[in-house]
Amino acid sequence: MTTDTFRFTKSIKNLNAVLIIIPMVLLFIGIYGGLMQTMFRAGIIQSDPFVGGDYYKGLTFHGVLNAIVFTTFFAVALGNALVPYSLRKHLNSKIAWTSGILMLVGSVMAAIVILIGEATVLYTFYPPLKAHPLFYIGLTLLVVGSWVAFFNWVPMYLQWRKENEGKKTPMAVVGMFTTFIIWFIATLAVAVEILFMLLPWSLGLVDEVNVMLARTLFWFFGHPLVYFWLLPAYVMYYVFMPKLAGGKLYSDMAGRLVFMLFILFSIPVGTHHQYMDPAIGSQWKLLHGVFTFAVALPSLITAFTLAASLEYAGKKNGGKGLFGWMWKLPYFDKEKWFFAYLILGLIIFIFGGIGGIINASYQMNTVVHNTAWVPGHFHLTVAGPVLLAFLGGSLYLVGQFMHKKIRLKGWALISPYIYTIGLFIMSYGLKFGGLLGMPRRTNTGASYANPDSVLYQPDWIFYIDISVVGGVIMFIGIVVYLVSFFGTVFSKGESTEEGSFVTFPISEAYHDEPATWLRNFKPYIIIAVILIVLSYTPVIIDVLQATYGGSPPYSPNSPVPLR
Amino acid sequence: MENKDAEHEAEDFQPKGALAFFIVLMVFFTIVWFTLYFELLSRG
Repeated sequence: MTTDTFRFTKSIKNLNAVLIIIPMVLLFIGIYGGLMQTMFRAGIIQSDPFVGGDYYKGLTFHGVLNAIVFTTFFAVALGNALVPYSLRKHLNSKIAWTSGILMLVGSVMAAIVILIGEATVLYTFYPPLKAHPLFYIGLTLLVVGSWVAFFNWVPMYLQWRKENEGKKTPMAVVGMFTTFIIWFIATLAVAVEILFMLLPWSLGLVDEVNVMLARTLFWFFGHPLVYFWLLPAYVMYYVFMPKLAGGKLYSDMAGRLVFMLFILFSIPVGTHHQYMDPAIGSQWKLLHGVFTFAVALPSLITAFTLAASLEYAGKKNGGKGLFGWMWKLPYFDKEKWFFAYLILGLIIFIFGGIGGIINASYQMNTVVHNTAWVPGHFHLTVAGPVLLAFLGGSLYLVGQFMHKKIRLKGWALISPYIYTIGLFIMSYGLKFGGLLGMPRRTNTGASYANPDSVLYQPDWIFYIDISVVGGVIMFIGIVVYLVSFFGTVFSKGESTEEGSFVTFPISEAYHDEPATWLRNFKPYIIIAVILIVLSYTPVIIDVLQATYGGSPPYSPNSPVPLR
Repeated sequence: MENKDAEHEAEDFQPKGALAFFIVLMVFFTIVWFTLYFELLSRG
């Protein structure tokens, strides 16, 4: 055993493999749903040929399985891997399995009710769309399971700090704790929404629900959810990527500062998703908009720090001049296939990042609000850097925890390139169509893209069709990935002594600053709570004062209430 | 020999390329942001 390896217990290795493989199956179902979305919108299909059901059912399982289920599982699996590995301590396997089982039961429960058509509420589950109670219970179990996983890491960390006084917490642990601190605070609001509003309403215990309050609680959770997706990718960017590129992380302090800034600014930003909603004063929306600009800061620091780290690697590999280093990185090195997933995600994020800044700019939001621009944007974030990093991470983790060599490395390497080409084409169609007014969450195939409809919009057709082309290419990219992934899973494992150890490509720092002011989470959590209270108290007061009564339940199929 | 030079250069590393990249990135962001801003203005 070297200092770069750690021996996990068999139980934890099996758990982590399960936490990667089962969600990968659900991810594929969700991605299939995404492909069908583009076909619905182009009018190629009017009913799902395999799963059955309409556009909104497909949109629901595409969003829930990909954006909530897969991401949560991967984040937990990455934490279960990196926290014990970095601290050189063993997880409590009983608690870890309890967490995994809660998440699996909850996810399967939610997936089943969606697939049988009893929870067509999209991934935001906004009321007055009502789902079967098992959908809400399933999501609750998924979230509670992820909390259990997080609280399983805390005693290990406290013990490590006691034994290593004065030492810096490993960067991977800082990143994973940041991810789950944000997740825990944010999910408290959605827990209140589900347990005290949506579930009693769905069970028929109450007749009506306050739609505005539910939306506000959702977005308290919904935007930090973006960082819950993004931060595990950031962990891999800061911790793995410099080493994979053959260099070092340019500044350790910059990485730690980035994570602490995310704790501060990730949550008091949610009403920038509600700029067009009534009931909330515009001054509070503006405040959330300002905080949203603040949360762009850590991403800009990341852009510079990672570029500097890659420049160091590129120059070490012989790159010359201002930009020569860019051509000396291992983009097509089969042995460093993981690098392609990370670097392509970063390139995509350049376009996703500016889209986010535009969306958060208060008045400019009116140009893009509820248009296809919005899914065009978030596919460049959650379905870009996040998905690619998680796919690369999943393949790496499954190889480590099942002690298998990665099979079909050429396929694993080419997959993110195919996917990225498709993603750019699809997002181009959605974004530019959106600027012409093409709506999101609308089955355009039955209306605006249907020449027989009075709503027909011929100038949108090119953008709708090009989205189909992009969607098909993205799907092919994913299939290529899955061939390598399941080829690895079902291959023969290594039985050598060396094979039973797990290793990660942990980067050294070029500048390893002491940064004592970044060593403790507590002050950042306290300031974050203060910012949340200051920014959300007036919002909640506004909502409660401006709303009365509530709404009966609806389904997407009818303009009249369900009862 | 070339590798040794590269290693030596890496030891005195100044991220000038990253800085240039960052400036280009900011210019790009500004152009895209203002494109949408003028689109907003054009809609009256």
